[in-house]
Amino acid sequence: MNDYIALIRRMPSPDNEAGFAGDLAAALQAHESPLVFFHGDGIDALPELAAAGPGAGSAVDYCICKTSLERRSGAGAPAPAGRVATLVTFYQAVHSARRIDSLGLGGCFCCRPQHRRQVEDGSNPLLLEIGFAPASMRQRRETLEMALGAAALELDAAVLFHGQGLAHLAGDAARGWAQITDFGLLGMYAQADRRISGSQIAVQTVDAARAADLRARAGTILIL
Amino acid sequence: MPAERKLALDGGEIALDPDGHLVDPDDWSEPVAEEMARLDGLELCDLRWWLIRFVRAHYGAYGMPPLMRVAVKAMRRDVGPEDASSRTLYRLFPDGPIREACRYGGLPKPESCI
Repeated sequence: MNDYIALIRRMPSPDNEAGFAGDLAAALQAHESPLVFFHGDGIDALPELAAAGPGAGSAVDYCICKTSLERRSGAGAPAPAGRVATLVTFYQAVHSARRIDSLGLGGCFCCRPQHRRQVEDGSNPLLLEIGFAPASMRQRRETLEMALGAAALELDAAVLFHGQGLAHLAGDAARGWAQITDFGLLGMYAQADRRISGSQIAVQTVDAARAADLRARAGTILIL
Repeated sequence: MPAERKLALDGGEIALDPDGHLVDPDDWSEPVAEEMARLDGLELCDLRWWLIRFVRAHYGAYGMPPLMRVAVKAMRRDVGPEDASSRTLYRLFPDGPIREACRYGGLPKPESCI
């Protein structure tokens, strides 16, 4: 079981690069069995992070998403470092980890030194926050796959789109998200002042107060 | 690199990729699916056809094949609750129900993160 997870979905943005390596190194050293999971464009960061991380013999488990790797390097490609895994590995670890940090599409490492909130009934509702627009069809697809992974494992999870992240719901390219609401796979919310124009997806529009409530109720928040 | 394969049907040839999926989705038809299954020693019964058509419809609507739990739910709705389960789907296509339904349905090999 992993007590700490860092989800890496892209390289840190230039503004955040300096602090990112230090924050991550500190988090890895503070935990006994950390997992660093590389997904999507985060694969680009793997060689550098694995080289800069704790040395040989450390307990850091570097995992790279199989599908993300195959999209970039072809079927059966070996991991440049660490081991190949799937979102099953990631979400199983999410269930037991005491702390989860994420480097999402915004390029900022969301570092939470406090332990995640313990929900009174022992459940661990998961909230996937999407606040940045996809820069490519691949980023769009891979963000959706994070949500579908939680849905496939029937996790107690919801998705909250806000700010530039609302772009994921616009246009024909967004139709993949519609299966989540059409089949009731996950809760899906969009923080917006009004119904999103141009979107055919039955996402529930919420105001800032309701969005804050969703965040407060979550046991774990992943910044995608 | 593994070679492309050919499926002979009605005097013509249809290209298959090394995984046995149609290179050109427009080459698909139900007789093509029947021939692919015949070569695999498989009979496409009503229930197998139901899954193939459901996966094709889902792909058309959402741009990707369904999750297993979605297929099971739809089976419960369309076919009946008695046998609707992932176990039943695996009995239909032991090598992976969704993946094989995609192959016989003329769809690309699914990319799965699970």
